[in-house]
Amino acid sequence: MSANLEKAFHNEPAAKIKSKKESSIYRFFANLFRSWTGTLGFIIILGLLFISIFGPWITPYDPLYADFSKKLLPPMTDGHLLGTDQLGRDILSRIIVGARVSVIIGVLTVVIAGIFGTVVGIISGYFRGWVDVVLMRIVDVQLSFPFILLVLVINAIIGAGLRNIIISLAIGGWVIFARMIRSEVLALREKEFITACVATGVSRFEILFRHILPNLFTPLIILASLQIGTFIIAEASVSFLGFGVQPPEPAWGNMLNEGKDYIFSSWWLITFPGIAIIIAALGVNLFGDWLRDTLDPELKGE
Amino acid sequence: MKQKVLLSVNNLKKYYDIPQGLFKEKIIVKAVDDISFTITKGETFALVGESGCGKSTTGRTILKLTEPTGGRIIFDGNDIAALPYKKMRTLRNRMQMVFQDPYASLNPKKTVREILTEPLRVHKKFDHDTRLKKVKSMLEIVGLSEYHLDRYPHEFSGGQRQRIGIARAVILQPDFIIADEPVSALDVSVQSQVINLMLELQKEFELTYLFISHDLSVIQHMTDRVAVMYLGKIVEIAKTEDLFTNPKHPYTKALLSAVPITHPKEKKERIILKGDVPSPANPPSGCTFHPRCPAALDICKTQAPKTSEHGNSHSVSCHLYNKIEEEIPHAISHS
Amino acid sequence: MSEKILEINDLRVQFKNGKEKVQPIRGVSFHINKGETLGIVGESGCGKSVTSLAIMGLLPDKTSEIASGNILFNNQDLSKLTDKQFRKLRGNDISMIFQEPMTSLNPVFTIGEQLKEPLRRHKNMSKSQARKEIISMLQQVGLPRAEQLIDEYPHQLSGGMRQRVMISLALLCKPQLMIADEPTTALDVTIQAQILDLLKKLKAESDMSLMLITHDLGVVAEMCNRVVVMYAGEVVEEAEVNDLFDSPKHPYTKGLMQSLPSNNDRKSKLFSIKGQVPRPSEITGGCAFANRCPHVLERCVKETPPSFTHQNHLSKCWLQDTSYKEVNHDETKGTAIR
Repeated sequence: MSANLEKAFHNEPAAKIKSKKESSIYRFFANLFRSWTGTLGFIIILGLLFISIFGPWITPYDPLYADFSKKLLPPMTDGHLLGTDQLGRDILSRIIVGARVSVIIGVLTVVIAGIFGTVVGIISGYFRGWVDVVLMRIVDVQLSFPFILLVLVINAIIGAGLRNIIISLAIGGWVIFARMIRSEVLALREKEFITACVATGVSRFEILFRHILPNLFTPLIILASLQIGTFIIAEASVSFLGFGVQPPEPAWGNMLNEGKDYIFSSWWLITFPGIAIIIAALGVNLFGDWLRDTLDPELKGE
Repeated sequence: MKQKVLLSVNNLKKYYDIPQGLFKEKIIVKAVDDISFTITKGETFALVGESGCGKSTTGRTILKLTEPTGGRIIFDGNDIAALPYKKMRTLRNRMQMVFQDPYASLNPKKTVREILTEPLRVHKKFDHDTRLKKVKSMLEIVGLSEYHLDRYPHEFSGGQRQRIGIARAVILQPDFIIADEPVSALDVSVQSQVINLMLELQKEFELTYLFISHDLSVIQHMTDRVAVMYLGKIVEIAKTEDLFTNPKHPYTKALLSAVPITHPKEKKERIILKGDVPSPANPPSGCTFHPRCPAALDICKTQAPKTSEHGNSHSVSCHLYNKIEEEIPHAISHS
Repeated sequence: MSEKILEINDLRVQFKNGKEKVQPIRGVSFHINKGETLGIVGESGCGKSVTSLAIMGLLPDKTSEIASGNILFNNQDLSKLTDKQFRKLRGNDISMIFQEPMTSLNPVFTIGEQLKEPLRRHKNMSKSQARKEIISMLQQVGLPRAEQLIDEYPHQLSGGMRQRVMISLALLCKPQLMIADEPTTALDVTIQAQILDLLKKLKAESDMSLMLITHDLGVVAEMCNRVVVMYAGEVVEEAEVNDLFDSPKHPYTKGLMQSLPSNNDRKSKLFSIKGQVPRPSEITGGCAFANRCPHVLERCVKETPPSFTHQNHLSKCWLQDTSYKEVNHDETKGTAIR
């Protein structure tokens, strides 16, 4: 009965689908603007990208310039919109420049962890056998270890810094991709169109690359968009603990770290970077949620 | 006139192990249990039976989509059961399959062009331009047009998708096609279109069909011989007309009598079977049909019946026919 | 004429998907008499399931609405009922069985727990009373070992048994109307024969009315007194079952019957209706069947045919125009709304 209902729904837009590029971009935005949470997420992401690219040119002050005569100014004084820190540096400028670190880390980590996790997931799910058993036990062991703790341990070994934190976050984060891709592959393997390929005489590798891989694209995009938020927060946590981006280079996490000593006297030191982290993570997650909601029914409907 | 045998299946078995946890013995499900039949070139051979009787498994095992547990499948002189994966791949251009669910059997991310070109590409037939020509002409044959080439499966209706599925199977011009319930997911008015298409294609390309279905009216319409399956075994094989006019096995009789009438004034004597089909994991002893059989004898409970021939290549596996012909009791004639 | 238990007048249901609006049902009218079995025949997407959902008040709230028309059950308009009033009615006066017996039972409750729900709610029965009632009902639908079965879980039963459980659930409160949506489609032929046999027997024992939704003309021939044929959200033909099978009037019904393999010579080319069911968005003016009809006239493309009735045999086709008089003048106005 619900299948019938669904058909009644799906028939209609299907009639108007054209296999042209413009129309699919048009449909993307038409769909996006229908959901206010998705739209908000999208706007936040655009904003993040903008300031992370043009940050150094739009900051009101030099984020590294210390002026002790102006230290710990509260917000809205002397032209410092969000106030200054213990060294007299402009907080707004530091947040704007720090956005770049968050974006770079979020995106790069997802790309690296995503690629590695996908490869492992595919090998595990498609070839099964002892390879699968070994790989999945590794995943299990790693999942039983707290994510942040693992990242800290790796950082402690390989040292701090932007490059190393990306490496450590990717090592901590690939397992989620591997798990999900493996289960997707397992489900796809049993699909009738894959059986149809075997019956046609398509080789195993061609089935994998021509038929299974394209069907992994949508779930991968969804997971990646949701993971970016996780990694941004993780980076902030690690920097907060002093392992991440090293001062004086501004990053949201180490701003929190430096500000924590003044939490009772100068609340703005820690509040504004915190809000920046929340907004960034929220924006990415809202958008990711919307992506999942719009793309998933399509997956099921087919 | 002796016709050429295209496929012969001998004592085919397909068992599945179902593990029951650490300390329990695993259950063996005999999905297909020791069946034999032959299909001659150009004929349409039907496998009929209810869900779980093993008819689909038989089809898939013949194409080696699952490995047989035992027995031989001989296709035009090649023993498929023993063939390695790579050799089997090259043989696949001569045997193809049409699936039941036209929604599940086409990759949602591929256009019609990609779906239909794939078999030709895989088997390295023709150059690029000839392939495209072939695909276009195949689309015409199955009642679609060139204009559908770059569309995705979800843009088509069920009937159209099934046409695409059939085109994919026929484009390599195979000798043999296994059609697993090709029309049962379709609406009545579309069903007849697809049946017509299959009959036309058979004439045009001299195809041999193994037609798997539970729909007796479709089987009566388009097949030459029928094998009736029950719980993994073939209980009766006969020419289609023979089977429908003179069914012998009590199960076949019940099955035929269960077909709904075609006109409200038609009076039909029903043989309503008791109970459900037993689980193949735990089949009854002796003749597996005996708990539901209206004519069960004592011997049926303990001993599996042998297959006996009754002229005109009509064979039955039932104790009622293991004795002398005249003794066929009236008890089971339309009760 | 006998009393009408259910009457549907010019029902239109509208689905919304964003800005797009679809009408899967466009002006459906029919009625069910007390004690009769009415068959509703049509292919997928013709609106037969949506009609039954509308009667049961089960249309999805947010995305659909009844755009016009009414549904009268014992002269009470169901389309105006609140949720609470509907809950009183459902499972009590009107009950429904669905196509998929596998998914319509909740796997985590025993049969007894699921069946006692309507009895406790509608009939205020005590536990032991309800149990007794359930066991006797399970026996009535031909289930063996009812005393044990009541404490078993759905996965322990086969498809046929589950459908029997669903039927007993639908019957428990002795409803006046039962709606069966493709009750045998998911079942094997021999099990289908059992279930149809059971439904016939139950019908004969009570004065319940049955609305049988199916795509299978054989099931209709076997079970129904009267038949409504639906196509693309409209009723195209309505007649006594014998009339319909003896002399179908609408080209769609004719085509449907002629395309059955059993009505064609073996191995011959089957009669078939060309083309396919239009999508709701593709239906504009004119007769919805015009693009597939072998007798299509110029008029069919331009004007929507009204319903012509002759001796209780209704057909929505211009071919009936010359010899029969028009009954439903309002129908043509309906096109303007579309």
